[in-house]
Amino acid sequence: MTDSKKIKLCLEGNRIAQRELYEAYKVNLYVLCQRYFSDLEDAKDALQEGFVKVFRDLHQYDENKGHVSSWIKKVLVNTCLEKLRKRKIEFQSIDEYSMGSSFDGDIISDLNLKDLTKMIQKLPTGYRTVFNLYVLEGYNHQEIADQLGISESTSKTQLMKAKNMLRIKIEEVFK
Amino acid sequence: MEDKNNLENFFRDKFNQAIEPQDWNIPDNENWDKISSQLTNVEKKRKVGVLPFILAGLGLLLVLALGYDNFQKGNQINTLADALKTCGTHQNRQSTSDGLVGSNGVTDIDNAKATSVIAPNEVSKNKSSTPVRKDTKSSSLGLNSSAAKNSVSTGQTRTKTVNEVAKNLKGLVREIINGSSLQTENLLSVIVPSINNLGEAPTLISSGLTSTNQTNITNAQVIDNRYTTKIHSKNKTFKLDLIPPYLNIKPKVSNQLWIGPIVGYRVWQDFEKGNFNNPLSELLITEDSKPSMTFGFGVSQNINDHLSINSGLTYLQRNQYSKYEINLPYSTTNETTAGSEFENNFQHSLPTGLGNINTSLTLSRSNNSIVQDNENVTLDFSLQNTSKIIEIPLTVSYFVKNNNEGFYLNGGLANSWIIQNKIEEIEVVSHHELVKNKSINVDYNISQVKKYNLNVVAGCGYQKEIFKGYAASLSTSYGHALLHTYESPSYKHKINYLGAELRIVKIIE
Repeated sequence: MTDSKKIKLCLEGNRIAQRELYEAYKVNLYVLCQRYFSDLEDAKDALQEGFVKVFRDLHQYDENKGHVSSWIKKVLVNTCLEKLRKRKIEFQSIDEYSMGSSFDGDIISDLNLKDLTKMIQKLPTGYRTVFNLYVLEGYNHQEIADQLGISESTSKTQLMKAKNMLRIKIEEVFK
Repeated sequence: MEDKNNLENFFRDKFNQAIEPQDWNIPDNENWDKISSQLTNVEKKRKVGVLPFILAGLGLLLVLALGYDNFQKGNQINTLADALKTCGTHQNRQSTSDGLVGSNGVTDIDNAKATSVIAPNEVSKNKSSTPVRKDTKSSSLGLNSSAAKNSVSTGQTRTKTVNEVAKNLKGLVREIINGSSLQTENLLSVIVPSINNLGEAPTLISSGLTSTNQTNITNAQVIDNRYTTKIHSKNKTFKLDLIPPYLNIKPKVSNQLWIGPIVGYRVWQDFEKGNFNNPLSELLITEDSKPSMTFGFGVSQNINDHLSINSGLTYLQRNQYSKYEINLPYSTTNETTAGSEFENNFQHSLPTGLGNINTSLTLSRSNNSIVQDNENVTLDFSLQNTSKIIEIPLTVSYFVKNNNEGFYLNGGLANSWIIQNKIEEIEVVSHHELVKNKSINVDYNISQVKKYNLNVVAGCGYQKEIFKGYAASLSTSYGHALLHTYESPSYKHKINYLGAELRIVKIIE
């Protein structure tokens, strides 16, 4: 079944098609949710809420503006941000963490996705959110500032600190 | 900078790699069940549709229209009072020695205005020295209103008297409209001169009345549902409407019984809480109740001019539809032979808004068709739950105006009993090319359906006499269910409604 047909059936409320769409994307999107929440239950809730929104708002998806996977991913990211906003993201000040040493990509190539996700989960919420949005979702600082209601400079600072913390964590793994 | 990009690119590359599901403790079916359940709720909310809002809007329009109608009538009363004042002033200037004023140019009527005559021994104290009139009928009619008393006060000016009559008339008309008790004699003594002052032409029973001052006015009485009086002159009698017809003020009613047929239309709102305690709940795609027509008769008894108590008997049929999408694996190893066909049997317990139902489904294929073992067969399956219901309402109506007519508010309880309930399949469609549905049986425990329900009803309506002895009433009401139609520890289902009703009643005195 083509994606277009599947989407059409989903729009008609066909539960089988909806489930197929869910099954097709749930793994990637669950990993995405885990990047935003340190608690697995929170990630699971975000996945659930996100998919309800996906099916509720699927009529807003425009095929001409990109693949459905990108649209679904965006809905899930927004769901995660919404959940985080409700908890009031705390943005750490720059002096709380020391700067890490330089990064050597070759050393850490053995780290797998799960290890990296755990490292991201251990970041403070503000660092984690900005890092995810900038590095992995491709938002720029202006967009992040708008989404999170912070200044651009705060976004840049949080990103820098997030990266420094990750460097430290990676070094700790190889010590 | 390079170092920075290394880290970012490293993470991007890693997260663009394929994800191995086994590493991630992926949510199980339970997560999908929750999503499915929430989607069902979202869809049901959408299905409530715009009709209730349209009905509510129409109800609001009706209320606004009636409000405007009341406002217009209020204006008419004000106009009446203003006109009286003008006439009173005019009369002061134009008064003749015999005290009769031709305000409307109808001589016979003017001549017959025996309610006011000059009191020759009373000297007016106003600037124009207009003679003061005395209402000779006031004592015989038991006049005790302040207006009437003012009209006989010694030394009071005519202008003042008429102004006060006008003021009191306004109050009197309001009193009549609002339904407070009022002595007929007072009404007569104040309104008869006022109407003539206004220039309203009374209804003449006979014409050709000769000029005379020898007139007599009988007490006001109800003729043709109006306060009317008869004025007897020397030779003739004519009838006079005491209240201008456009005010449409009718005498008080008492001890009336209204009875008549009712026809109505209801939109149902299914409200559900919790989740079906059924592993197959995700198969349920939609469940909703279609609008119903209602038929019956109503009986109302008025308690007083504003309140009436209503009951009756209404019959209606509520159809609730449940639509499922079922995916079944057709087994070629466990199939049975039935003539030239192979069959597979499936038993399910499916959830509905009135409890679980058991289905026994047979799928079949011809014995020369080629089907893989456990090949998926997708079925669209619809059930209809038909409930035949008798309803006995007990409500009270409050009429804003007196006489139990016009706009009213209605509230009370509606008891309903399901007298017959039936669940049956209405459609089974197989989407498989070779495997088709052969038969289906639906079975359920009838005792799981709650027979009795109780609704709190609130609404508003408008009632008007359409011709003599018959009235029509159009109302809209909302019924909030106090009891659940189905209830389990994890799931509750109740059905509210929004309805419109038209009733025709015969008025029995």
